[in-house]
Amino acid sequence: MDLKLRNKVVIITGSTGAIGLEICKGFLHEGSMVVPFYRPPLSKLDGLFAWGKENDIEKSRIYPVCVELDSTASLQQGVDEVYSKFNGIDVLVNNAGWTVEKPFLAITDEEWDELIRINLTAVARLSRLVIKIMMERKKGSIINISSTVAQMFGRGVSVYAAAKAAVNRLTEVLALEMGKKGIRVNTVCPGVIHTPMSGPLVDRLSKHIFERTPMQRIGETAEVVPAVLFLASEAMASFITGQHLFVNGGVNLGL
Amino acid sequence: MADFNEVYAEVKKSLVASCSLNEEEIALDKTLMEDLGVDSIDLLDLIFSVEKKFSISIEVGTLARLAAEKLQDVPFEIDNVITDEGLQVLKDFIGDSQEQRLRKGLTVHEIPLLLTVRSLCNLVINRLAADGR
Repeated sequence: MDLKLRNKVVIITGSTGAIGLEICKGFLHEGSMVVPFYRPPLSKLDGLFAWGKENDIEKSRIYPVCVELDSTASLQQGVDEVYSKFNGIDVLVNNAGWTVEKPFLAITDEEWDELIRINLTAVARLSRLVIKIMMERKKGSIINISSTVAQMFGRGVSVYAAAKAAVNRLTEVLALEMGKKGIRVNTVCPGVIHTPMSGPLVDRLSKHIFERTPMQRIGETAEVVPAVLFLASEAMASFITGQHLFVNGGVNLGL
Repeated sequence: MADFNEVYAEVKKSLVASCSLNEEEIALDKTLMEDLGVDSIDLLDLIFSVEKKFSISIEVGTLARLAAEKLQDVPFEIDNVITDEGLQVLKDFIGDSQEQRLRKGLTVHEIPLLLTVRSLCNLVINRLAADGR
């Protein structure tokens, strides 16, 4: 099935993480121009370049841009660089995110601020810069990688859950505001996925997670990618905006 | 100094592209929001388009800032309410046709409602002149 993502310019944050890397591969597989926003060192993208070589992906279709997500000036510089190189941005995937597992009462102010900065503020600031460019062409797709904890569960990850819930509402309001400009904004909400970040949680709670999940297993990073590609694609999702696509084995059905 | 008619022609193109207006309904003394029905998102789209076209920067509050600069030591507003002197300076930007809108008690937050096609053109010319163009 042709998703018509060939040569589309796609910015992906958090591209060196487990899910981000798979999203990069997914867009490269579809023929897109992939712009991983990354924090140094560049060697963190070695795995992506190696995968590209193995799969006959032209190196020029990966255009890494070094960006500090918690700096508006750095974000602006990164977006300017992409714009001057490609003269437009088709897709933004706000994927960067992280959490610490701690009871709410043990969270320090510094941890609260940092988690909100990365999981929420950076999403808003980068979206604002990219939307300004997308408005020129009156089209574009923004996909925010949120989480099932935006709506349920989340004991021990209060800040992350609060930030992701805010991302979901931000997504809905941006969809309301930008719909008439042809810009679609959606989220993908993974459940528990096998990644280094979820490792301790999976080790401790896998039995409990299986019991609550209709599909009785943990998800894999590659299973998140098709949802992102689908929402990015004008051919597939041209009338879909402000929606949350759960990739969680049905855990939100509340067994 | 930039030619007003050339600026107007370009602003008109931006209005058509950014605000889905027909060229025939655009007139210099129509207000963007009330007369032409431009909403806040369209207004931003329009400003971005004009900024790019002329390589200028128009920040929120530019009109108020320019008016305040022109008045120098005389206050433009007191507690967000525009002074009589401020209203007089705004008239220069907005044009005589909108004089009835420049009523006593007008607040700084209501300035975007006063923006006419003419005042946007004047704003562009002012920004170009500031850059020596």
